[in-house]
Amino acid sequence: MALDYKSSLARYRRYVQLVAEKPLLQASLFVIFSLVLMIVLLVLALRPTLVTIAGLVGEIRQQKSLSDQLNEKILKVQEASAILSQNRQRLEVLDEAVPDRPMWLNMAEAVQSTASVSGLVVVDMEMGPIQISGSEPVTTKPKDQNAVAEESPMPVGVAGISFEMTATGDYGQIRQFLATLENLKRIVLLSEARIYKGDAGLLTVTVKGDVGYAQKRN
Amino acid sequence: MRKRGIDKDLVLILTTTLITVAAWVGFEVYRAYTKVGIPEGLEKYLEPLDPSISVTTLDKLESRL
Repeated sequence: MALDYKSSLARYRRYVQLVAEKPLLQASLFVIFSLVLMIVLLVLALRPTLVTIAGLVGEIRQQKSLSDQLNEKILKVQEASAILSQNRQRLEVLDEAVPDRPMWLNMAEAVQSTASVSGLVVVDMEMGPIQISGSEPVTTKPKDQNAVAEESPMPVGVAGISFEMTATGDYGQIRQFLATLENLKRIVLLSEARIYKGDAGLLTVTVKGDVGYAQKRN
Repeated sequence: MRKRGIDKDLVLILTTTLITVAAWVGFEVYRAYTKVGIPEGLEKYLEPLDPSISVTTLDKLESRL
């Protein structure tokens, strides 16, 4: 075993001596070792370093971009705050137009009062469904698959309470009532107004519409 | 002659490997640079905000009864 080891060493020594004697072979060996060394260095040393540097540079770039966006948002919020301070007094009218609760009683009183001022006699009034407390009202009625979904006339973020009322009076009174109703501070969207002649010669009007209130944001 | 052929092949293989490894490192570096990592919960603060208010609408509302 020891003899084999010595003979192997002698063989390698002869090979190295041969390589040292031949410059072309020596140069070739250097090229191969250089390439191997470059590959090893690239994989083991350069790659992790470059990846770490690139990751950090990329993160700095992203953080800078986020910082710029947040600064811009802060400026916008400050601007919005200044505008809010300027118009705070005027925003009460907005709360009145679209309150954050259904406020159906106020609406009913306003409609009643408008009808009285116009000279109409309210025969019947119906509102609903109205959310008194808890979550949004849900229907227990099974959905008709063929029925077309009824679209709310209210804009996005505004919930509507539908109402229907019947009143009697003459044409001028009805016209004044409808004009006043459409011009109330509380936003009212009238969808239908039917006028027909009653028994006593008076006109009867049936008005359908929706009043809105702001939906709570989640 | 045979030995010179082996050397030439070896150099060719090593050069190709070096190019491949260099390309791989390049892609790794690019991927690390462009990796997006917005901290959790920050997205809601980045939502755009329009600070303007429609004064015309307020005027219209004020003119109502």
